[in-house]
Amino acid sequence: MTRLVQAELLKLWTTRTARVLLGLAAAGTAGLITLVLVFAGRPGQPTLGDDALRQLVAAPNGPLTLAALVLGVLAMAGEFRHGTATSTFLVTPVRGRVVAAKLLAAAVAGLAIALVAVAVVLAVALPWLPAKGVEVDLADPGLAARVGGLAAAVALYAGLGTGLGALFRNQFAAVIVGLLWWQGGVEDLLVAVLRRPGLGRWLPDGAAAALIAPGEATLTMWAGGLLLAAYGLALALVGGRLVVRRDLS
Amino acid sequence: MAAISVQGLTKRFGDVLAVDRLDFELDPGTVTGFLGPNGAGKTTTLRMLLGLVAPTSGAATIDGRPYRELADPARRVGAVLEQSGFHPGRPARDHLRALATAAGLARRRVDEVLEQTGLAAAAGRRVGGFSLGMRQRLGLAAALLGDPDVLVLDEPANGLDPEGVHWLRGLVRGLADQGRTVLVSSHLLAEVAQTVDQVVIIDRGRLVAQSTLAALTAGADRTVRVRTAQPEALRDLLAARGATVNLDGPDQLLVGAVTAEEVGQAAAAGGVVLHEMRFERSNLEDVFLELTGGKGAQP
Repeated sequence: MTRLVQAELLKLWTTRTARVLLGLAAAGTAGLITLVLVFAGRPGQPTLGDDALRQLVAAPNGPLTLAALVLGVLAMAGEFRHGTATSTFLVTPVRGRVVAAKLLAAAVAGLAIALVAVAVVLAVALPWLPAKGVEVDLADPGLAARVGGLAAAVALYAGLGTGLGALFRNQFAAVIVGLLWWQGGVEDLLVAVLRRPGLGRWLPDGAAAALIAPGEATLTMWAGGLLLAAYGLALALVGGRLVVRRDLS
Repeated sequence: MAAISVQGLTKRFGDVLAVDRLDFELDPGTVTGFLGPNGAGKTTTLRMLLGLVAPTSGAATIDGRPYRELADPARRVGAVLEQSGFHPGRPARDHLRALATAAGLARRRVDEVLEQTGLAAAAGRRVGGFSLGMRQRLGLAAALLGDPDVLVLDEPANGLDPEGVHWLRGLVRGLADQGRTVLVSSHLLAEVAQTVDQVVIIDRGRLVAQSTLAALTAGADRTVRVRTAQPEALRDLLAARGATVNLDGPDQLLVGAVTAEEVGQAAAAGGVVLHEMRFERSNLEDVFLELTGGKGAQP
Protein backbone atom coordinates (compact mmCIF):
# COMPACT_ATOMS: atom_id res chain seq x y z
CA MET A 1 0.00 0.00 0.00
CA THR A 2 2.89 2.37 0.75
CA ARG A 3 4.18 2.19 -2.81
CA LEU A 4 0.68 2.79 -4.18
CA VAL A 5 0.31 5.91 -2.03
CA GLN A 6 3.76 7.03 -3.19
CA ALA A 7 2.72 6.50 -6.80
CA GLU A 8 -0.46 8.52 -6.26
CA LEU A 9 1.47 11.38 -4.63
CA LEU A 10 3.90 11.32 -7.54
CA LYS A 11 0.96 11.53 -9.97
CA LEU A 12 -0.46 14.51 -8.09
CA TRP A 13 2.83 16.33 -7.92
CA THR A 14 3.78 15.78 -11.57
CA THR A 15 0.83 17.63 -13.07
CA ARG A 16 0.62 21.37 -13.10
CA THR A 17 -2.84 21.35 -11.51
CA ALA A 18 -1.65 20.30 -8.07
CA ARG A 19 1.21 22.79 -8.04
CA VAL A 20 -1.08 25.58 -9.27
CA LEU A 21 -3.64 24.75 -6.56
CA LEU A 22 -0.93 24.76 -3.91
CA GLY A 23 0.42 28.06 -5.26
CA LEU A 24 -3.07 29.58 -5.33
CA ALA A 25 -3.72 28.41 -1.76
CA ALA A 26 -0.46 30.00 -0.58
CA ALA A 27 -0.95 33.25 -2.54
CA GLY A 28 -4.63 33.48 -1.58
CA THR A 29 -3.78 32.98 2.07
CA ALA A 30 -1.08 35.66 1.94
CA GLY A 31 -3.51 38.09 0.27
CA LEU A 32 -6.32 37.37 2.72
CA ILE A 33 -4.15 37.76 5.81
CA THR A 34 -2.64 40.95 4.41
CA LEU A 35 -6.10 42.42 3.81
CA VAL A 36 -7.33 41.47 7.28
CA LEU A 37 -4.28 43.02 8.91
CA VAL A 38 -4.41 46.18 6.81
CA PHE A 39 -8.04 46.87 7.57
CA ALA A 40 -8.16 45.63 11.17
CA GLY A 41 -9.06 48.33 13.63
CA ARG A 42 -10.35 50.78 11.02
CA PRO A 43 -13.89 52.09 11.46
CA GLY A 44 -16.42 49.33 10.85
CA GLN A 45 -13.75 46.60 10.90
CA PRO A 46 -13.07 44.18 13.76
CA THR A 47 -10.21 45.00 16.03
CA LEU A 48 -7.45 42.55 16.79
CA GLY A 49 -7.54 40.93 20.21
CA ASP A 50 -5.11 38.64 21.93
CA ASP A 51 -6.59 35.67 20.07
CA ALA A 52 -5.81 37.34 16.72
CA LEU A 53 -3.34 34.68 15.59
CA ARG A 54 -5.84 31.88 16.28
CA GLN A 55 -8.41 33.62 14.15
CA LEU A 56 -5.95 34.42 11.39
CA VAL A 57 -4.85 30.77 11.16
CA ALA A 58 -8.42 29.63 10.66
CA ALA A 59 -9.36 32.51 8.36
CA PRO A 60 -8.43 30.93 5.00
CA ASN A 61 -10.33 27.68 5.73
CA GLY A 62 -12.85 28.29 2.92
CA PRO A 63 -10.47 28.53 -0.04
CA LEU A 64 -8.22 25.83 1.44
CA THR A 65 -10.97 23.24 1.86
CA LEU A 66 -12.18 24.08 -1.65
CA ALA A 67 -8.69 23.60 -3.13
CA ALA A 68 -8.35 20.28 -1.30
CA LEU A 69 -11.76 19.13 -2.49
CA VAL A 70 -10.87 19.91 -6.11
CA LEU A 71 -7.53 18.17 -5.77
CA GLY A 72 -9.22 15.07 -4.35
CA VAL A 73 -11.76 15.02 -7.18
CA LEU A 74 -9.04 15.38 -9.82
CA ALA A 75 -6.93 12.61 -8.30
CA MET A 76 -9.75 10.12 -8.85
CA ALA A 77 -11.91 11.42 -11.70
CA GLY A 78 -8.86 12.63 -13.67
CA GLU A 79 -7.95 8.98 -14.25
CA PHE A 80 -11.17 8.53 -16.19
CA ARG A 81 -11.02 11.94 -17.85
CA HIS A 82 -7.60 11.25 -19.35
CA GLY A 83 -7.89 7.49 -19.78
CA THR A 84 -4.99 6.81 -17.44
CA ALA A 85 -7.27 4.50 -15.44
CA THR A 86 -6.41 1.75 -17.92
CA SER A 87 -2.69 1.74 -17.19
CA THR A 88 -3.31 2.30 -13.48
CA PHE A 89 -5.60 -0.73 -13.23
CA LEU A 90 -3.30 -2.84 -15.40
CA VAL A 91 -0.57 -2.36 -12.81
CA THR A 92 -2.98 -2.70 -9.85
CA PRO A 93 -5.93 -4.82 -10.98
CA VAL A 94 -7.42 -4.92 -7.48
CA ARG A 95 -9.03 -1.52 -7.95
CA GLY A 96 -10.15 -1.07 -4.36
CA ARG A 97 -6.49 -0.72 -3.42
CA VAL A 98 -6.11 2.12 -5.92
CA VAL A 99 -9.11 3.96 -4.46
CA ALA A 100 -7.76 3.50 -0.92
CA ALA A 101 -4.31 4.73 -2.00
CA LYS A 102 -5.85 7.78 -3.65
CA LEU A 103 -7.83 8.55 -0.51
CA LEU A 104 -4.66 8.46 1.59
CA ALA A 105 -2.62 10.41 -0.97
CA ALA A 106 -5.31 13.10 -1.21
CA ALA A 107 -5.35 13.41 2.58
CA VAL A 108 -1.56 13.79 2.63
CA ALA A 109 -1.78 16.43 -0.11
CA GLY A 110 -4.52 18.23 1.83
CA LEU A 111 -2.34 18.20 4.91
CA ALA A 112 0.50 19.69 2.88
CA ILE A 113 -1.76 22.46 1.56
CA ALA A 114 -2.92 23.30 5.10
CA LEU A 115 0.60 23.35 6.51
CA VAL A 116 1.90 25.57 3.69
CA ALA A 117 -1.01 27.94 4.36
CA VAL A 118 -0.30 28.02 8.10
CA ALA A 119 3.35 28.78 7.35
CA VAL A 120 2.23 31.65 5.12
CA VAL A 121 -0.10 32.99 7.82
CA LEU A 122 2.73 32.94 10.36
CA ALA A 123 5.19 34.48 7.91
CA VAL A 124 2.85 37.41 7.22
CA ALA A 125 1.33 37.86 10.68
CA LEU A 126 4.23 37.28 13.08
CA PRO A 127 6.26 40.36 12.10
CA TRP A 128 3.12 42.44 11.70
CA LEU A 129 1.07 41.76 14.83
CA PRO A 130 3.46 43.35 17.37
CA ALA A 131 3.35 46.53 15.25
CA LYS A 132 -0.41 46.47 15.69
CA GLY A 133 0.02 46.19 19.41
CA VAL A 134 -1.01 42.56 19.65
CA GLU A 135 1.01 40.24 21.82
CA VAL A 136 1.86 36.95 20.10
CA ASP A 137 2.06 33.72 22.05
CA LEU A 138 3.17 30.78 19.90
CA ALA A 139 2.90 28.41 22.87
CA ASP A 140 -0.84 29.11 23.11
CA PRO A 141 -2.53 25.67 23.22
CA GLY A 142 -5.59 27.21 21.56
CA LEU A 143 -3.39 28.08 18.57
CA ALA A 144 -2.10 24.52 18.26
CA ALA A 145 -5.67 23.21 18.39
CA ARG A 146 -6.71 25.64 15.64
CA VAL A 147 -3.79 24.59 13.41
CA GLY A 148 -4.55 20.92 14.00
CA GLY A 149 -8.25 21.45 13.33
CA LEU A 150 -7.60 23.34 10.10
CA ALA A 151 -5.11 20.72 8.87
CA ALA A 152 -7.54 17.90 9.66
CA ALA A 153 -10.44 19.68 7.96
CA VAL A 154 -8.45 20.39 4.79
CA ALA A 155 -7.08 16.82 4.65
CA LEU A 156 -10.54 15.35 5.17
CA TYR A 157 -12.02 17.58 2.46
CA ALA A 158 -9.45 16.18 0.04
CA GLY A 159 -10.73 12.73 0.99
CA LEU A 160 -14.32 13.86 0.42
CA GLY A 161 -13.23 15.02 -3.04
CA THR A 162 -11.75 11.61 -3.82
CA GLY A 163 -15.00 9.98 -2.76
CA LEU A 164 -16.99 12.36 -4.98
CA GLY A 165 -14.61 11.67 -7.87
CA ALA A 166 -15.14 7.92 -7.48
CA LEU A 167 -18.89 8.36 -7.26
CA PHE A 168 -19.23 10.51 -10.37
CA ARG A 169 -16.10 9.58 -12.36
CA ASN A 170 -16.73 12.82 -14.29
CA GLN A 171 -14.49 15.46 -12.77
CA PHE A 172 -16.68 18.34 -13.91
CA ALA A 173 -19.81 16.86 -12.34
CA ALA A 174 -17.95 15.98 -9.16
CA VAL A 175 -16.51 19.49 -8.78
CA ILE A 176 -19.93 21.07 -9.43
CA VAL A 177 -21.59 18.87 -6.83
CA GLY A 178 -18.77 19.61 -4.40
CA LEU A 179 -19.10 23.36 -5.05
CA LEU A 180 -22.87 23.34 -4.64
CA TRP A 181 -22.56 21.52 -1.36
CA TRP A 182 -19.61 23.51 -0.15
CA GLN A 183 -20.76 26.96 -1.16
CA GLY A 184 -24.31 26.57 -2.41
CA GLY A 185 -25.73 26.37 1.04
CA VAL A 186 -27.22 22.90 0.56
CA GLU A 187 -26.83 22.22 4.25
CA ASP A 188 -28.50 25.49 5.28
CA LEU A 189 -31.34 24.69 2.92
CA LEU A 190 -31.72 21.18 4.36
CA VAL A 191 -31.81 22.54 7.89
CA ALA A 192 -34.39 25.17 6.91
CA VAL A 193 -36.61 22.80 4.94
CA LEU A 194 -36.55 20.12 7.62
CA ARG A 195 -36.95 22.76 10.38
CA ARG A 196 -34.29 21.05 12.41
CA PRO A 197 -31.85 23.70 13.58
CA GLY A 198 -29.84 21.05 15.43
CA LEU A 199 -29.25 19.04 12.26
CA GLY A 200 -26.59 21.36 10.83
CA ARG A 201 -23.78 20.23 13.04
CA TRP A 202 -24.23 16.63 11.88
CA LEU A 203 -23.81 17.48 8.19
CA PRO A 204 -20.35 17.59 6.53
CA ASP A 205 -19.87 21.36 6.64
CA GLY A 206 -21.18 21.42 10.19
CA ALA A 207 -18.71 18.70 11.13
CA ALA A 208 -15.93 20.70 9.48
CA ALA A 209 -16.97 23.76 11.49
CA ALA A 210 -16.27 21.80 14.65
CA LEU A 211 -12.68 21.45 13.45
CA ILE A 212 -12.20 24.97 12.12
CA ALA A 213 -14.14 27.10 14.57
CA PRO A 214 -15.33 25.00 17.48
CA GLY A 215 -17.95 26.66 19.64
CA GLU A 216 -21.21 26.22 21.47
CA ALA A 217 -23.21 25.20 18.40
CA THR A 218 -20.72 22.65 17.05
CA LEU A 219 -19.72 19.16 18.01
CA THR A 220 -16.41 18.70 19.79
CA MET A 221 -13.32 18.72 17.57
CA TRP A 222 -12.83 14.98 17.85
CA ALA A 223 -16.44 14.17 17.10
CA GLY A 224 -16.49 16.60 14.17
CA GLY A 225 -13.28 15.15 12.74
CA LEU A 226 -14.50 11.57 13.03
CA LEU A 227 -17.85 12.48 11.50
CA LEU A 228 -16.21 14.25 8.55
CA ALA A 229 -13.90 11.27 8.06
CA ALA A 230 -16.93 8.98 8.13
CA TYR A 231 -18.61 11.03 5.39
CA GLY A 232 -15.46 10.78 3.27
CA LEU A 233 -15.16 7.04 3.85
CA ALA A 234 -18.82 6.43 3.07
CA LEU A 235 -18.54 8.35 -0.22
CA ALA A 236 -15.35 6.50 -1.09
CA LEU A 237 -16.90 3.12 -0.27
CA VAL A 238 -19.97 3.72 -2.43
CA GLY A 239 -17.93 5.35 -5.21
CA GLY A 240 -15.16 2.79 -4.91
CA ARG A 241 -17.66 0.00 -5.37
CA LEU A 242 -18.72 1.57 -8.66
CA VAL A 243 -15.11 2.01 -9.75
CA VAL A 244 -14.38 -1.63 -8.95
CA ARG A 245 -17.41 -3.02 -10.73
CA ARG A 246 -17.66 -0.93 -13.86
CA ASP A 247 -16.17 -2.10 -17.12
CA LEU A 248 -13.31 -0.02 -18.38
CA SER A 249 -13.97 -0.03 -22.09
CA MET B 1 0.23 -24.81 -19.69
CA ALA B 2 -1.08 -22.34 -22.20
CA ALA B 3 0.29 -18.82 -21.73
CA ILE B 4 -3.07 -17.38 -22.70
CA SER B 5 -6.30 -19.31 -22.56
CA VAL B 6 -9.76 -18.12 -23.52
CA GLN B 7 -12.67 -20.43 -22.74
CA GLY B 8 -16.27 -19.80 -23.72
CA LEU B 9 -15.59 -16.07 -23.33
CA THR B 10 -18.75 -14.03 -23.81
CA LYS B 11 -19.56 -10.36 -23.37
CA ARG B 12 -22.91 -8.75 -23.83
CA PHE B 13 -23.32 -4.97 -23.77
CA GLY B 14 -27.07 -4.49 -23.50
CA ASP B 15 -28.49 -5.96 -26.69
CA VAL B 16 -25.14 -6.26 -28.38
CA LEU B 17 -23.29 -9.54 -28.17
CA ALA B 18 -19.73 -8.23 -28.52
CA VAL B 19 -17.94 -11.51 -27.89
CA ASP B 20 -19.69 -14.83 -28.38
CA ARG B 21 -18.37 -18.02 -26.75
CA LEU B 22 -14.80 -17.47 -27.88
CA ASP B 23 -12.25 -20.25 -27.36
CA PHE B 24 -8.54 -20.27 -28.11
CA GLU B 25 -5.25 -21.11 -26.45
CA LEU B 26 -1.81 -19.70 -27.10
CA ASP B 27 1.36 -21.59 -26.21
CA PRO B 28 4.22 -19.81 -24.46
CA GLY B 29 6.70 -18.23 -26.87
CA THR B 30 4.30 -17.91 -29.78
CA VAL B 31 3.56 -14.72 -31.69
CA THR B 32 -0.09 -14.56 -32.62
CA GLY B 33 -1.97 -12.13 -34.79
CA PHE B 34 -5.44 -11.44 -33.43
CA LEU B 35 -7.40 -10.43 -36.48
CA GLY B 36 -10.85 -9.32 -37.42
CA PRO B 37 -12.64 -6.39 -39.01
CA ASN B 38 -13.28 -3.28 -36.95
CA GLY B 39 -16.00 -4.02 -34.44
CA ALA B 40 -15.37 -7.77 -34.44
CA GLY B 41 -14.79 -7.81 -30.67
CA LYS B 42 -10.99 -7.81 -30.57
CA THR B 43 -10.59 -4.94 -28.12
CA THR B 44 -13.35 -6.25 -25.84
CA THR B 45 -11.69 -9.67 -25.81
CA LEU B 46 -8.31 -8.18 -24.92
CA ARG B 47 -9.86 -6.00 -22.21
CA MET B 48 -11.52 -9.06 -20.68
CA LEU B 49 -8.19 -10.89 -20.82
CA LEU B 50 -6.62 -7.98 -18.92
CA GLY B 51 -9.29 -7.73 -16.22
CA LEU B 52 -10.57 -4.33 -17.38
CA VAL B 53 -13.93 -5.64 -18.57
CA ALA B 54 -15.81 -8.36 -16.71
CA PRO B 55 -16.97 -11.25 -18.94
CA THR B 56 -20.69 -12.00 -19.06
CA SER B 57 -19.68 -15.65 -18.98
CA GLY B 58 -16.64 -17.78 -19.68
CA ALA B 59 -13.07 -17.05 -18.65
CA ALA B 60 -9.81 -15.68 -19.91
CA THR B 61 -6.61 -16.62 -18.10
CA ILE B 62 -2.91 -15.92 -18.22
CA ASP B 63 -0.76 -18.80 -16.98
CA GLY B 64 -3.97 -20.37 -15.77
CA ARG B 65 -5.09 -17.41 -13.68
CA PRO B 66 -7.48 -14.54 -14.28
CA TYR B 67 -5.53 -11.30 -14.68
CA ARG B 68 -6.97 -9.79 -11.51
CA GLU B 69 -5.52 -12.69 -9.53
CA LEU B 70 -1.97 -12.41 -10.86
CA ALA B 71 0.40 -11.72 -7.99
CA ASP B 72 2.62 -9.30 -9.89
CA PRO B 73 0.82 -8.40 -13.12
CA ALA B 74 3.32 -5.81 -14.38
CA ARG B 75 6.09 -8.40 -14.37
CA ARG B 76 3.95 -11.02 -16.07
CA VAL B 77 2.01 -9.09 -18.71
CA GLY B 78 2.61 -5.88 -20.62
CA ALA B 79 -0.22 -4.35 -22.58
CA VAL B 80 -0.77 -1.52 -25.00
CA LEU B 81 -4.43 -0.71 -25.43
CA GLU B 82 -6.04 1.64 -27.90
CA GLN B 83 -7.83 3.87 -25.45
CA SER B 84 -5.21 3.97 -22.77
CA GLY B 85 -4.44 7.61 -22.27
CA PHE B 86 -1.96 9.94 -20.70
CA HIS B 87 -2.38 13.03 -18.59
CA PRO B 88 -1.48 15.78 -21.06
CA GLY B 89 0.26 17.86 -18.39
CA ARG B 90 2.50 15.10 -17.08
CA PRO B 91 5.95 14.55 -18.58
CA ALA B 92 6.57 11.14 -20.16
CA ARG B 93 9.19 10.10 -17.62
CA ASP B 94 6.88 10.94 -14.72
CA HIS B 95 4.08 8.88 -16.27
CA LEU B 96 6.41 5.88 -16.32
CA ARG B 97 7.83 6.64 -12.86
CA ALA B 98 4.35 6.59 -11.33
CA LEU B 99 3.62 3.21 -12.93
CA ALA B 100 7.00 1.81 -11.90
CA THR B 101 6.48 3.02 -8.34
CA ALA B 102 3.03 1.42 -8.12
CA ALA B 103 4.41 -1.83 -9.51
CA GLY B 104 7.42 -1.78 -7.20
CA LEU B 105 9.89 -1.75 -10.11
CA ALA B 106 13.41 -0.35 -10.03
CA ARG B 107 13.67 3.24 -11.21
CA ARG B 108 16.36 2.40 -13.75
CA ARG B 109 13.71 0.46 -15.70
CA VAL B 110 12.10 3.80 -16.60
CA ASP B 111 15.24 5.01 -18.36
CA GLU B 112 15.78 1.61 -19.95
CA VAL B 113 12.34 1.48 -21.57
CA LEU B 114 12.60 5.12 -22.64
CA GLU B 115 15.83 4.19 -24.40
CA GLN B 116 14.31 1.02 -25.85
CA THR B 117 11.37 2.89 -27.38
CA GLY B 118 13.42 5.81 -28.66
CA LEU B 119 11.85 8.33 -26.30
CA ALA B 120 14.87 9.16 -24.15
CA ALA B 121 15.28 12.61 -25.72
CA ALA B 122 11.60 13.49 -25.20
CA ALA B 123 11.29 12.03 -21.69
CA GLY B 124 11.08 15.37 -19.92
CA ARG B 125 8.40 16.77 -22.20
CA ARG B 126 4.69 16.87 -21.34
CA VAL B 127 2.73 14.18 -23.13
CA GLY B 128 0.19 16.76 -24.34
CA GLY B 129 2.69 17.80 -27.00
CA PHE B 130 3.37 14.27 -28.21
CA SER B 131 2.39 13.01 -31.66
CA LEU B 132 0.22 9.92 -31.98
CA GLY B 133 3.31 7.89 -32.83
CA MET B 134 5.15 9.10 -29.72
CA ARG B 135 2.13 8.21 -27.61
CA GLN B 136 2.18 4.70 -29.05
CA ARG B 137 5.86 4.47 -28.17
CA LEU B 138 5.13 5.68 -24.63
CA GLY B 139 2.38 3.07 -24.35
CA LEU B 140 4.87 0.42 -25.41
CA ALA B 141 7.42 1.75 -22.95
CA ALA B 142 4.84 1.36 -20.15
CA ALA B 143 4.08 -2.18 -21.30
CA LEU B 144 7.77 -3.11 -21.22
CA LEU B 145 8.45 -1.62 -17.76
CA GLY B 146 8.10 -4.91 -15.89
CA ASP B 147 10.04 -6.89 -18.53
CA PRO B 148 7.01 -9.20 -18.93
CA ASP B 149 6.87 -12.62 -20.60
CA VAL B 150 3.51 -11.93 -22.17
CA LEU B 151 2.72 -8.92 -24.35
CA VAL B 152 -0.75 -7.90 -25.45
CA LEU B 153 -0.79 -5.22 -28.13
CA ASP B 154 -4.06 -3.77 -29.41
CA GLU B 155 -3.60 -2.22 -32.86
CA PRO B 156 -0.12 -0.97 -31.98
CA ALA B 157 0.59 0.27 -35.50
CA ASN B 158 -2.29 2.76 -35.44
CA GLY B 159 -0.96 6.26 -35.78
CA LEU B 160 2.57 5.21 -36.64
CA ASP B 161 4.19 6.48 -39.82
CA PRO B 162 5.86 3.95 -42.16
CA GLU B 163 9.15 4.32 -40.33
CA GLY B 164 7.35 3.75 -37.04
CA VAL B 165 5.61 0.65 -38.38
CA HIS B 166 8.97 -0.70 -39.49
CA TRP B 167 10.44 0.03 -36.05
CA LEU B 168 7.47 -1.61 -34.34
CA ARG B 169 7.81 -4.72 -36.46
CA GLY B 170 11.48 -4.99 -35.51
CA LEU B 171 10.67 -4.47 -31.84
CA VAL B 172 7.93 -7.11 -31.80
CA ARG B 173 10.16 -9.56 -33.65
CA GLY B 174 12.96 -8.90 -31.18
CA LEU B 175 10.63 -9.49 -28.22
CA ALA B 176 9.38 -12.69 -29.83
CA ASP B 177 12.94 -13.88 -30.45
CA GLN B 178 13.56 -13.55 -26.71
CA GLY B 179 10.89 -16.22 -26.22
CA ARG B 180 8.07 -13.98 -25.10
CA THR B 181 4.45 -14.70 -25.90
CA VAL B 182 2.99 -11.93 -28.04
CA LEU B 183 -0.65 -11.38 -28.94
CA VAL B 184 -1.04 -8.51 -31.38
CA SER B 185 -4.38 -7.41 -32.76
CA SER B 186 -4.98 -5.77 -36.10
CA HIS B 187 -7.73 -5.26 -38.61
CA LEU B 188 -5.16 -5.61 -41.39
CA LEU B 189 -3.71 -9.03 -42.05
CA ALA B 190 -0.81 -7.69 -44.10
CA GLU B 191 0.27 -5.52 -41.18
CA VAL B 192 1.09 -8.52 -38.99
CA ALA B 193 1.71 -11.19 -41.64
CA GLN B 194 5.47 -10.64 -41.54
CA THR B 195 5.68 -10.87 -37.77
CA VAL B 196 3.38 -13.61 -36.52
CA ASP B 197 3.59 -17.41 -36.37
CA GLN B 198 -0.12 -17.94 -36.21
CA VAL B 199 -3.38 -16.10 -36.39
CA VAL B 200 -6.63 -16.11 -34.46
CA ILE B 201 -9.39 -14.60 -36.59
CA ILE B 202 -12.70 -13.47 -35.18
CA ASP B 203 -15.74 -11.88 -36.74
CA ARG B 204 -18.88 -10.61 -35.03
CA GLY B 205 -17.53 -11.89 -31.73
CA ARG B 206 -17.00 -15.46 -32.90
CA LEU B 207 -13.91 -17.47 -33.65
CA VAL B 208 -13.50 -17.90 -37.40
CA ALA B 209 -10.10 -19.56 -37.57
CA GLN B 210 -7.03 -20.32 -35.52
CA SER B 211 -4.14 -21.59 -37.58
CA THR B 212 -0.62 -20.96 -38.74
CA LEU B 213 -0.22 -18.47 -41.54
CA ALA B 214 0.97 -21.22 -43.90
CA ALA B 215 -2.04 -23.40 -43.19
CA LEU B 216 -4.34 -20.44 -43.67
CA THR B 217 -3.26 -19.90 -47.24
CA ALA B 218 -2.59 -23.54 -48.10
CA GLY B 219 -6.21 -24.17 -48.93
CA ALA B 220 -6.45 -21.19 -51.19
CA ASP B 221 -5.09 -21.01 -54.70
CA ARG B 222 -1.96 -18.99 -54.65
CA THR B 223 -1.63 -17.01 -57.80
CA VAL B 224 1.90 -16.45 -59.09
CA ARG B 225 2.64 -13.44 -61.21
CA VAL B 226 5.35 -14.10 -63.80
CA ARG B 227 7.07 -11.56 -66.02
CA THR B 228 8.85 -12.94 -69.04
CA ALA B 229 9.86 -11.96 -72.58
CA GLN B 230 8.17 -15.12 -73.93
CA PRO B 231 4.72 -15.13 -72.32
CA GLU B 232 3.03 -17.26 -74.99
CA ALA B 233 5.68 -19.99 -74.84
CA LEU B 234 5.49 -20.14 -71.03
CA ARG B 235 1.71 -20.16 -71.13
CA ASP B 236 1.70 -23.25 -73.30
CA LEU B 237 4.30 -25.00 -71.12
CA LEU B 238 2.32 -24.30 -67.94
CA ALA B 239 -1.01 -25.20 -69.45
CA ALA B 240 0.46 -28.58 -70.32
CA ARG B 241 1.15 -29.06 -66.59
CA GLY B 242 -2.44 -28.31 -65.71
CA ALA B 243 -1.98 -24.73 -64.57
CA THR B 244 -4.58 -22.04 -65.09
CA VAL B 245 -2.85 -19.28 -67.00
CA ASN B 246 -4.01 -15.82 -67.94
CA LEU B 247 -2.11 -13.22 -69.89
CA ASP B 248 -1.98 -9.95 -68.02
CA GLY B 249 -0.38 -7.27 -70.12
CA PRO B 250 2.23 -7.78 -72.85
CA ASP B 251 4.85 -9.56 -70.74
CA GLN B 252 3.02 -10.90 -67.70
CA LEU B 253 1.15 -14.08 -66.79
CA LEU B 254 -1.06 -14.85 -63.83
CA VAL B 255 -0.58 -18.52 -63.00
CA GLY B 256 -2.78 -20.54 -60.68
CA ALA B 257 -3.21 -24.15 -59.52
CA VAL B 258 0.53 -24.90 -59.58
CA THR B 259 3.32 -24.06 -57.15
CA ALA B 260 6.00 -21.47 -57.78
CA GLU B 261 8.52 -24.33 -57.97
CA GLU B 262 6.58 -25.92 -60.82
CA VAL B 263 6.51 -22.62 -62.70
CA GLY B 264 10.28 -22.39 -62.35
CA GLN B 265 10.79 -25.96 -63.49
CA ALA B 266 8.54 -25.49 -66.52
CA ALA B 267 10.41 -22.33 -67.50
CA ALA B 268 13.80 -24.00 -67.11
CA ALA B 269 12.74 -27.07 -69.06
CA GLY B 270 11.41 -24.93 -71.92
CA GLY B 271 14.34 -22.52 -71.92
CA VAL B 272 12.10 -19.54 -71.09
CA VAL B 273 13.83 -16.59 -69.42
CA LEU B 274 11.97 -15.24 -66.37
CA HIS B 275 12.37 -11.61 -65.37
CA GLU B 276 10.26 -11.71 -62.26
CA MET B 277 8.14 -14.14 -60.32
CA ARG B 278 6.16 -13.39 -57.18
CA PHE B 279 3.06 -14.33 -55.25
CA GLU B 280 0.15 -12.04 -55.57
CA ARG B 281 0.03 -10.59 -52.06
CA SER B 282 -3.64 -9.91 -52.22
CA ASN B 283 -4.28 -13.60 -51.80
CA LEU B 284 -3.72 -13.53 -48.09
CA GLU B 285 -6.13 -10.64 -47.85
CA ASP B 286 -8.61 -12.60 -49.98
CA VAL B 287 -8.56 -15.43 -47.46
CA PHE B 288 -9.06 -12.94 -44.66
CA LEU B 289 -11.94 -11.25 -46.43
CA GLU B 290 -13.53 -14.58 -47.24
CA LEU B 291 -13.32 -15.73 -43.61
CA THR B 292 -14.67 -12.50 -42.21
CA GLY B 293 -17.50 -12.12 -44.65
CA GLY B 294 -15.65 -9.60 -46.80
CA LYS B 295 -16.62 -6.51 -44.90
CA GLY B 296 -14.86 -3.92 -42.89
CA ALA B 297 -11.33 -4.96 -43.75
CA GLN B 298 -10.47 -1.68 -45.35
CA PRO B 299 -8.07 0.52 -43.40
